[in-house]
Amino acid sequence: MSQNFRLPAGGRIDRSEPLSFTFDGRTYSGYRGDTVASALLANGVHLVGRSFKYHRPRGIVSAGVEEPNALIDCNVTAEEKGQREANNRMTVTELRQGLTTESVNAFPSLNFDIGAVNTTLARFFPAGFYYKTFLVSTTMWHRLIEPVIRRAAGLGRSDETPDVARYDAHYKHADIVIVGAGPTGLQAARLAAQSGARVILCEQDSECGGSLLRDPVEIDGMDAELWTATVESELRSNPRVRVMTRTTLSGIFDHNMLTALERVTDHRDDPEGRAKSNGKTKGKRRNKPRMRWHRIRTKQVVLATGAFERPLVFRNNDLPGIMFASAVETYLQRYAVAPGRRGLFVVNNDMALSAAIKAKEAGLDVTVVDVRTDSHGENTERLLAMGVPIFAGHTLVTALGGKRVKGAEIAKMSDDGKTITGAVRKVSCDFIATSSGYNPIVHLHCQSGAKLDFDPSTQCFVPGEPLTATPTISAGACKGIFGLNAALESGAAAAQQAVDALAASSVIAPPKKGRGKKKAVTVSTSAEAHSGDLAMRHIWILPSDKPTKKGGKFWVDFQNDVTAADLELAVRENFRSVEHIKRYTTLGMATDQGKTSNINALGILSDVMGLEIPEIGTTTFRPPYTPTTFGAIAGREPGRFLDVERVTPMHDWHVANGALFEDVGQWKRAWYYPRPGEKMNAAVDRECKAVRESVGLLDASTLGKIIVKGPDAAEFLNRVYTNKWLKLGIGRCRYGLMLGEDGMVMDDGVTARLGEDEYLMTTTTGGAANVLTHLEDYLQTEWTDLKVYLTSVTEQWAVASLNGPKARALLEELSEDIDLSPEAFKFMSWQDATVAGLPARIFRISFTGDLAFEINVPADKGMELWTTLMTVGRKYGITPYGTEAMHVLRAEKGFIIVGQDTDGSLNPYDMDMAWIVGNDKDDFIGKRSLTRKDMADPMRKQFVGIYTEDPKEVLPEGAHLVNLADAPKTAYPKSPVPMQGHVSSSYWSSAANRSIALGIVKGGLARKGETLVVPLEDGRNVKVVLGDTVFFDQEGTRQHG
Amino acid sequence: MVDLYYRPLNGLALNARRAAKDGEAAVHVWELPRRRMITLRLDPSDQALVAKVEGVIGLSLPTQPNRLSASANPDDDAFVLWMSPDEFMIDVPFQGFNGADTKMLADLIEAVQGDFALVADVSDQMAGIGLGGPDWRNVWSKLCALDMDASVFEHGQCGQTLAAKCNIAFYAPDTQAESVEQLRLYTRRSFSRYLFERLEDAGLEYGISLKAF
Repeated sequence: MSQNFRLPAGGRIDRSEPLSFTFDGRTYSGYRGDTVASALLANGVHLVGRSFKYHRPRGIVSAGVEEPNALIDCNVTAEEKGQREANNRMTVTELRQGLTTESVNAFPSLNFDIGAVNTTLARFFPAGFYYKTFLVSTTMWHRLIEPVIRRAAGLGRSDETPDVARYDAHYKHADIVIVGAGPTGLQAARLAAQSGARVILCEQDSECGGSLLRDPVEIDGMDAELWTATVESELRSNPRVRVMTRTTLSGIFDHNMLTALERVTDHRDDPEGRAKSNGKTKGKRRNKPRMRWHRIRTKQVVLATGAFERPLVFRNNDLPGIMFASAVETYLQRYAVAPGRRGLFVVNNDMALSAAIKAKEAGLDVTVVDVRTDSHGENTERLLAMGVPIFAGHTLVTALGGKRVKGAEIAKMSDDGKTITGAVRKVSCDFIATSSGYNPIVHLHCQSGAKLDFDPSTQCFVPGEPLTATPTISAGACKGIFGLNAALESGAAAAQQAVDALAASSVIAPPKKGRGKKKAVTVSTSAEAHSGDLAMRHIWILPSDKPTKKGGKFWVDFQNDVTAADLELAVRENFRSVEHIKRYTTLGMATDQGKTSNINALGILSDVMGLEIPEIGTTTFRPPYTPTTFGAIAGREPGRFLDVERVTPMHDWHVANGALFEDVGQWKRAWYYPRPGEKMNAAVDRECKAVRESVGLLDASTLGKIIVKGPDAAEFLNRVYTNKWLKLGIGRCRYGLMLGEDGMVMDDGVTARLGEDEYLMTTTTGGAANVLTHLEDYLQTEWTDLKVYLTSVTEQWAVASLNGPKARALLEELSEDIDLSPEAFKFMSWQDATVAGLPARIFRISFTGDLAFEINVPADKGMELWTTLMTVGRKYGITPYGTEAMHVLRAEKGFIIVGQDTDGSLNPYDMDMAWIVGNDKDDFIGKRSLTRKDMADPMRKQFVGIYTEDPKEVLPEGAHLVNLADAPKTAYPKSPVPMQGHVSSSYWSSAANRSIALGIVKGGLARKGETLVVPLEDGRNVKVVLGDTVFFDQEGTRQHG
Repeated sequence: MVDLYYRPLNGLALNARRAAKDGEAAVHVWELPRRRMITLRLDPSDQALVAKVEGVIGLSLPTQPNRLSASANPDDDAFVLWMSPDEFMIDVPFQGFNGADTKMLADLIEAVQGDFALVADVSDQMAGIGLGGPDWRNVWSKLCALDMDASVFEHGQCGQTLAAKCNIAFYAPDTQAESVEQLRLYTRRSFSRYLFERLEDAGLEYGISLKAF
């Protein structure tokens, strides 16, 4: 299609680079520098979407991020699977070659939309429609209403396949961050940079300039383009300054932690820049992320975010072809696109009429309706001089047209602006530009937690006092300063304020004295002229012959289809808080978050409720400022980088030998080693058997190891463990139980005395870091009198745990300098030795209840030790075993696993471990809590063995136990059954030749022998008998072997 | 048995991949050789004890927080890092420096005998990764919240922080260079593969080499 509405000259587009793209399957052309919106307008396309609720035809209304209507899904073809993105605002979607787009919420097509019948039915969809339908019946809601609403309402479609793009995240640091590179921000950045501060300038647009891009004026004797380029290049050549375009500063958090989204490749033609690299492309630019998510720490923030134009609210104001005056100006000036041939400008101020001047200069027919009775101002005068008809004190009665505005009815208003007084006159036009003033973009200011003030003269909210903790400095239009000259001055002042604050805190050197004031920026008189006249007349709803009460449609929130009548209804239904009205009507709740609608809504509410706008207040501004792709926030951390995978020194052997892995904290631990074709149960059974009958080898490197050293080390252990530590001999080991201050089991492990004042503590794999922190905390804050140093050596050692009756024979073969006989090397002791030629420390401790040696060697030698043991051990039938077999073996012995059998609510008595509580000690962590009455309650949940009546039945872990009398009749009984406890560990045990289970049961210790029932999901009630927790080798002779 | 050390990054097969990833690399990430690393905890105000320790290692203990002390001869590549008010990390070449491979550890233990001090060999526990190349700061900024601007971080400083979810200690070893051109990162060995892969991934867009810078 030809670009019939492209002006013959001008604009910031590159006419040497034509681009083609598709919209709803049709191919259009545009130029580099276009947005999808400007290119579609150049092709005369105004109907670009259907509204959320009523499927009304909607057009492009803005030229920026505030766009409520012109939403598109991008990258919509089958080849672009994983790249589709929903609800992009086409006004800020840069055109690139081959871009594919689709309108949203249109069915079956944009031009003919079945849902548009909703418009006719609109009186059945009033404000609060959803809430009202809740009150019908639940069945109606689930079966009928919800599915229908879900089908009919909504916007874009998201991709159902994983996002293929690469996203990255950066931490950034600055002295001053300036948000917005319009004239105010550029001026601020320039001065901030001259101070030597580290400056980041963020601009969401593809280029700097802001309002100068639509209204070129002279600054410093240069035209705006040159001035912008000069300042920008000055900034870019300063190594302390970073100018970031296509970067939306989306959030301000406490103490000036800012988030910013940078769009890196979306505008580029080459697909490899957007999609994940397949590694085949060459050059350094491959693997560029699609977007970067920046977390910026800064000392000062200058907000120069500008203002949004406020549309007038009139009857049928949502027809395609009705736009903001500033948008018309932008399309004309920046994109060289005429939004039509005959424009009607409806304004309440003079400033907006600079757009009408540009339209007239571009050769378009221009008519002006000024709601002010005393139409005046620089632009007004110029238009009159150009012969443009201006209807002062008039109202726009209604816009006319269906899928495109065709004309309008205008009439003179009464003095109070409530009614029509004159005759209705028809005006022919194909676009309408409106302006009701400007709304400062105070989003970031509010996100910082600061409040707003209300400026009655411009009827807008302006930033109030910034917070001390998260100070921001607003400047220019976002502060309610609208004239260009004043904005430039405001930008300079903001920069100075930021620089002074930095100098005061010695971040940068204070400016040298005697150099005099910096040369003030001169702004030409023409810039002054473009400040226009901001005298406004505020009429929140333009009077019509068919007002809201008679069914006239006056749209306030385009994206969520909220009308003035909806707001009036909400007030009639007695909603008073603006936050309630927002949620009831869904005003401001769409993806645009009410950027164009909120103030108009407040104005209408103020009329209806008879309150001033500040009395009504505003809703909350929350980050992000504009919609943000989740992928960008996740960065590189979904997928394989989700979390650290910690691996042991022997990990590569486990992988090479087919191990499957279990996650234990961040560790990857070998779970079991299936032989080809072997099922898990068989593999685990085989591994367990090897330990009981010959010898098994476990990688136990992950257990936490902490050196405890100092003259008070024994006393320290005595206080952190429940049992006694003062008399442990050098060379001996002891099992210890550690409680939290609440008296609950926190960790356990074996600690060995290495020397006179040195111990080696072991902790659980998952608890290692917490235990070290806990102990260090006590040393530094509670027991500062104790002379003890701690340090973690968890990973200094690789640990191969040899278990089984043949462990000794194997180890004897590999070590010469040690007597391994039971008499010389007793259970619960340790010795240094040489094993397989490696310096080793051997602990005779056992977590399987069998003869065991835990061999520790420096981690870099772990692989060598392991492979030697496997090679030499072959003749003994050595079998590597994983954590699953380890769990079975320890459960056979009733050894607990902290965190599996305990859950932070169980004390040592609950675990039937009174034997390890040294109550006659002066103190230990948790001792006082153990004296609480509740701790001795006989009906606390207690640790027991669980024996299924049928020994072949293996209970699922987590299964509940209930009293025999409460056994439910069905799998899902109507009324809840009182639970007695649950199964915490459950396995098949070949050694015991039956299923074994451990669990906690109310008053369990006194109920051994009692029969309970475990109701299963399949409806069966499995009878179990409570009993002892040791299922195998009750005498405990094997570990002493 | 051959005297071989199975280092934590062995599983990444870096030797085989080095050739494939070269060219105009603006980022270099590489595995550091095994070094003698010893954790030392003592009261630095105990001058007699400090003198004994310094006598063994041949380096002084740094006195300022987050500062290191380096051997007077830069070719020694030998450092002591400040880790906390009463903790230091000795980080010297495994061979060729003051008996690091043979007797330094035993001598240190001997030297503090009877004193309140802790000496622990962590040579196997720590894995070292080098990060350099013109764009190293960009890579760092993807993984770590610390500000490494030239105006903030300089030679002689060391620190501990979280990078890519891993605890690390770091410093700039090229004390003679005009500006910081490379960093040395240490993490616990079990984290080192993850950290290395994160560094490599972060450097891809700039062009990456797995060889020392």
